[in-house]
Formats: sequence, C-alpha cells, structure tokens
Amino acid sequence: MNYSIMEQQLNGEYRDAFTAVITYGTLKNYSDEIMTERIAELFDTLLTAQTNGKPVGKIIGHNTERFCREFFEDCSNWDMTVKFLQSLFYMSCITFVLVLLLYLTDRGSAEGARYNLTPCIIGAAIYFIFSAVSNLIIVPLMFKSQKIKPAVWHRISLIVFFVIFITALILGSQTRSWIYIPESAYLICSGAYIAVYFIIRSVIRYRKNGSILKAPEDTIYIQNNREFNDKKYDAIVMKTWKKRYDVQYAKGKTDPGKFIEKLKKNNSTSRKMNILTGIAVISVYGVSVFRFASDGNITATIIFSLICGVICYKIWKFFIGALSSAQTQNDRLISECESSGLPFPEFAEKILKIYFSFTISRYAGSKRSLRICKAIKLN
Amino acid sequence: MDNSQLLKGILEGCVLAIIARCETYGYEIIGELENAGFEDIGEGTLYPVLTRLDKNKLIQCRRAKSPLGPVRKYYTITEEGKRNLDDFRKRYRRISASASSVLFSEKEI
Repeated sequence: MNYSIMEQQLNGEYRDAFTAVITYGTLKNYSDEIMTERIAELFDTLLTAQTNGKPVGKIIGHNTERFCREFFEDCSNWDMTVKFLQSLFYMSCITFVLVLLLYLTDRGSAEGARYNLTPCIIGAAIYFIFSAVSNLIIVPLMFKSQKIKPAVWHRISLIVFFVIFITALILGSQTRSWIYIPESAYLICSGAYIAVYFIIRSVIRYRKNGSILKAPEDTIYIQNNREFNDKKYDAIVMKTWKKRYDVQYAKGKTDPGKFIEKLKKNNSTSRKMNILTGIAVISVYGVSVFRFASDGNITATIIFSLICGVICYKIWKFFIGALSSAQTQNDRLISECESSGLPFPEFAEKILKIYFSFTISRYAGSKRSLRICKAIKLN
Repeated sequence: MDNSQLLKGILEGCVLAIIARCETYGYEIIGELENAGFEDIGEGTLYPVLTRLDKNKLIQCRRAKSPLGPVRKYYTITEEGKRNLDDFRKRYRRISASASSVLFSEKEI
C-alpha cells in the first residue's frame, strides 16, 4: 500500500498523526496485512475528521504514544513473526535466483561450487540490530521529542538502517569467511523454504478470500490512490503545458492548434524511444543467452534464459512502465482536449479547475487548499 | 482509578449497541460515543474493540468507497452479535444495580 499518497491527502496535525502511526507500525515491524487494514481505517477517519473540521485530538487523543500502543494493542508477537517470515521469503527469493545463476555459471568447475553463508548471516544481523535499535531507541525518542516531526523520525530510521547496513557490509568484507556450504545444498534449503512459504500463504489466502491471489480489497485501495494520482498528474501536466504555451504564445511562436500538434509529435517521438529501448534490452538478453548457450548445456540454458528474461522484463517494466503510463495519460489529455472543442488554454483551465474542486472538497478551509489555489493560480 | 480500566468492560457492549442501530463506520461510532458523553474514546481505543468484535463474529464488515474517496469499512451486527448484546444488557443491568447499591448507599447520598 502506498502510504505517501495517503499522506499527501492529509495536512498539518492530521498528517503528523498519520505519519507517527505509520512510523510506529513500520518500526515495530507489523505485517503488511495488519498495516494495510489499520492504516486504511485510520486514514478514512482522519480524512473525514479533517474535512469536517473535527480536531485531531478527538480522534487520537493527546498522547500519540498511548494511541499507537492501543491502536496495535491486539497485535501479538505472532504478527511480528509473520513479518519476519515474510521478509525471509523475499530475501530467499532474491538469493535463490542469484545463487542459481552462480551455480549454473560455475557448473563443471573442478572443486565444485560452494556458497559463502556470510552474507546471509550479515543480513540476519542487520535485521535484528535494526529491529532492536528501532524498538528501544527510535520509537521512544519519537514520542518524547515534541520538536522533531514524525516524518523526520521516519527519515532518521532510514538513515540508521543504512548506517547499520554499510557498517555490517564493511565489517563483513574485512572478516574472513568461515562458513561455506555447497551451492546445491543452499539451493535445496532456500527452495524448500520458498515452496513451503508459498503453499502456506496460498492455503491461508484461499481459506480467507477464496482465492490464492491477493485479497480483492487490496486492489480497491490501489484504485482509490490511482484516482487521486491521476487527477494530480493531469493538473501537474496541464500546469507545465500551460506555462510552456504562454511563453511560446507571448513570443508569437505558437497558437492553440499548433501547440496541440507539437504535443502529439513529442509524445509520438517519446514512444519511438521506448521501442528502441525495448530492442536494446532484448538484444542484451539475446547476446547473454547466446553466450551462455554456447557452452552446450540445454537445461542450464533454459533456466538461465528464464531467469534473465524475468530480470530484463522487470528492469524494462520499471524504467519504461512509468514512462509509458505517462505517455498514455498525455495522449488521453490531448484527445480529451481535441474532443472538447475548446482551445488549449481554456481546456487547461478547465482541467485545473476540476483538480481544484476535487482537492478543495477534501481540504475545505485548510491552509493547504489556499496553497493549492495559489499554486495553480486560481481564486 | 484510570478511566480506561473502568471503560474496558462496557465499551464493547456500547459499540455493539451503536452498530446494532444501523450500518455504521469508525468515525461515526466515535461521534456517537462522544455525543453519549464518552469523551476520551478515539480511534486507538475503538479499533481494537472493533477487531475483537469482528474476530468473535459479533459484527461483520463490508468495504465500500466513502463520499470522500478512500475505502471505508462499514460495520453491521450479526445474529450472534444481537444475542450477545441482549445478554450484555441483562448482565450490565444486574452489575450496575449491584455496583450502585454499594457505591451510592443511603448513608452516602
């Protein structure tokens, strides 16, 4: 769940309270399921309170620490164990793929491939040290300090994590590795854990939601966040385009028709670049698989090409996915502008007004609503 | 004596009674409790109560979009919840009468 989009919809003391609960829950390591359920409920209550002008104190009281403790009161140690098992699952998936790649690459080596267990031990140490520091130092300090906002404590916790991470890496690299196990043994153990975790998770999900996939309500939260994001994106894009249009129009270089044509052209060029990037990724993938296949082992080549395929797809999706979604939204805005029959400047004003009324309904009377009005130059 | 200790026993019954009236949600429950004079009941106290009621199958919840946009959990009472509420009312009357007879004896009044 994307908490930052939720945070953006709250302001002032409502946002501070929300961030404090998120920081508390994250540092206490509650499972995603618990966090999703509770944070969604709290977000709805705070947003409603903010809209109705109800003081935040009436919702969370005047002692945030007590509120957080009570809010997560019924979460047992089991929930934290679940979170630990979840993290272990994701770590196992990553290391399993990496070790499998190493195993496939090292096959045929005379000594037999062996895997150094030190990184796993370092990883576990980082997890436990960070949990201890969060629980014993950061959380109590966050509630004691009145001057430093919860959002800052969230960032401090990230810095602390990186400091622990880097220190562990440096110490780990200077320590002589002492535990080696055969890669095949590591693959069997982590593979077995991944399989068992996956089966148990599927059974729990099936019993709870009637499907082994993620609960449908998770997608409702995403849809809601997307709706907010889309409107915000429209407003940001329109503001940028309008600014560009005003500058070019003042210089006599454009008119509404020309400007739309130029936008269309820019978007289409940008799409062509996506195709070129796609071709480049596929070429790199093809060359790697070809070089690997030249060794002659068909099974290893199939596994290698599958793993590399997934990695390349994920990389491509990460970089191009966001770009492509922005291009689709730009296309939508351009076609909406054309079908509305309005000249570009008027259409831009209309979109900004839609965002304005959407936002003002959420932040009625707040400083934030005035800031937004000022930002998009509307009264 | 801390108010929260005193409230712990009766809050579940009160929340159940509010939900029994009609389908409702967290913010509205807090408002109802506040109107009834429970001033210090926030989301922190309410949420664990709702979770317990839900786990014990005394209430059920459905998710729907709120007028403001985010997903909201709407709670309704179950048949088991109705029975439990009736039982709670009877027990509360009995305990309340007993406690009153001790706390506000004629001598004190």
